[in-house]
Amino acid sequence: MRNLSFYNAVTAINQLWSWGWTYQSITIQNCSVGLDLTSGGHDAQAIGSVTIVDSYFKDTPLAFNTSHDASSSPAAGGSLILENIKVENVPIIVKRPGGVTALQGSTGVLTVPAWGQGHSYAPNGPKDFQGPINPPTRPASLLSGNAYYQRSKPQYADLAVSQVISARSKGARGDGIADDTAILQQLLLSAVKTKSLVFFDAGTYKVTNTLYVPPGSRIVGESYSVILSSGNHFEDLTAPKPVVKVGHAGEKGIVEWSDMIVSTQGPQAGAILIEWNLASTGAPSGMWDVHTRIGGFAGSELQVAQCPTTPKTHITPAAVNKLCIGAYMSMYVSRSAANLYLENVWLWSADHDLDDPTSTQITVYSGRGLLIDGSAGKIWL
Amino acid sequence: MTDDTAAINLAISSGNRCAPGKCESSTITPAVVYFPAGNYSISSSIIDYYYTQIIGNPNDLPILRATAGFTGFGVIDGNQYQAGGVLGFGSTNVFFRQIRNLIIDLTAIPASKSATGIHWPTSQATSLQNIIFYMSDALGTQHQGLFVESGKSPILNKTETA
Repeated sequence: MRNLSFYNAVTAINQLWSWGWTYQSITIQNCSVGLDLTSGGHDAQAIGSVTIVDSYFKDTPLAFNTSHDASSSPAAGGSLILENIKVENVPIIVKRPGGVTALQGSTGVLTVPAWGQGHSYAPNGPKDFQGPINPPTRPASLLSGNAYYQRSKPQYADLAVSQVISARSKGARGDGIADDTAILQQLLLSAVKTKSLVFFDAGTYKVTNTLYVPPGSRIVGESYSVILSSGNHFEDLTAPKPVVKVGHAGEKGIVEWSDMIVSTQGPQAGAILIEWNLASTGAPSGMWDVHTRIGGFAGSELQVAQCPTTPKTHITPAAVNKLCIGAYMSMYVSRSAANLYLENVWLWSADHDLDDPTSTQITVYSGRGLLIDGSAGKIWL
Repeated sequence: MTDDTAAINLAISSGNRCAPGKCESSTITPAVVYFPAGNYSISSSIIDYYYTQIIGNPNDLPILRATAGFTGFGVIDGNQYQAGGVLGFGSTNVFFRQIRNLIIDLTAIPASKSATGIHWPTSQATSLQNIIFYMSDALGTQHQGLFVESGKSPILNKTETA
């Protein structure tokens, strides 16, 4: 969770529970308590861990109320890491059980480079710690000022309608049946020439060949429009091919892509759903709310009917149902890729069928998830 | 001011869509529910359905204003509790939905009354972006902006509570 602001609240954030939870660039001003992390109490911590970076607390008597100490339970519950936290008129930053001040604040301005509580790991077993820690060195290339860089999903609020091209208006059917490959490829190549925003109207766009996304492209979906690969171009496990290929190796430029899904239909053992080759300079390219979804939905032909679980069958290589190998790899960020910002990207090989009335489980095989080969520049995850 | 609750709920539910408590999940009835700029009077929860994108005008945020007598868990109830205290959707199974560009105003509700802006127990591939919550800051206020009691990996970006 990032870029949140809280003013004049009794408790800004009451953390009821977490496995792991990350806060970035939070502002809390004039509240009674910043983060209440006491849920469950000393002997039944409901919080696994909370990490908070690049945040600011002002005019708030207590920033973090915690229940963790060396005897609290579960032992690593209530773990807390602070990194680059600035406070102004915050008398107590961290309070521990018994009303004890674990980290003193200030009536003036104070910055905490890094501080933590929880378990630190050593060769002879974990040790409970509470106190200042060494902050990790932040590579300058990841920063904006002294905080980690952020870039939010663009909403294109300042574009005129005339700058938006709808895929349907260019003849793409998006019905999951027609082969939309040629029309979509033509659309993507021409849209960059007019710097237009490509709008994939809600629907499922079937492609039977790689779709190349040229540098300069801006693409947005509507309620997660789907690009669905199909056919024998993507069936060869020994010769994988990208479904959506962003840039050729060595190309430079920026691509923005949001609110879409890439999926496969039936056996697609050679499908690399997304391949990113592009190197960007300046502002990074971004993928926001772009997901891969392999199986488990109507039209995938990788549902309960085709790919049921077989709990009584021991799966050996010979016993794998080849019709249910849904992908070679979800996403490949290649060697030439650089300066890519991924936010809210879910790469999912489905374990159950979303269009089955009782969410029945399925067995769908995907070779690989995410491979990042790029070392030419920054990749944010 | 006209009560817009029924119309908004009709916009979300129309088209035989996947309702909490009646449907576990579905990918075949996606919807964008768009709020033009303006003030919307809300007297009971807007019930969010599966695979729904609730999007306001980013250039002039629409205001969802709870009435003084508002009833329900959340001006937007992202996962309505059913009879028996069970969430309508399994909280680790609510995917592919968003809310963005809204102001949610609880200030007409008496401070001593429990009130929630958004109830959002939800999971992967979901997001809340660019939302402002206005609540009472009177002594003893029982208002809360966002309530997430279970789920998995939601993303929140640029929300403010005041």
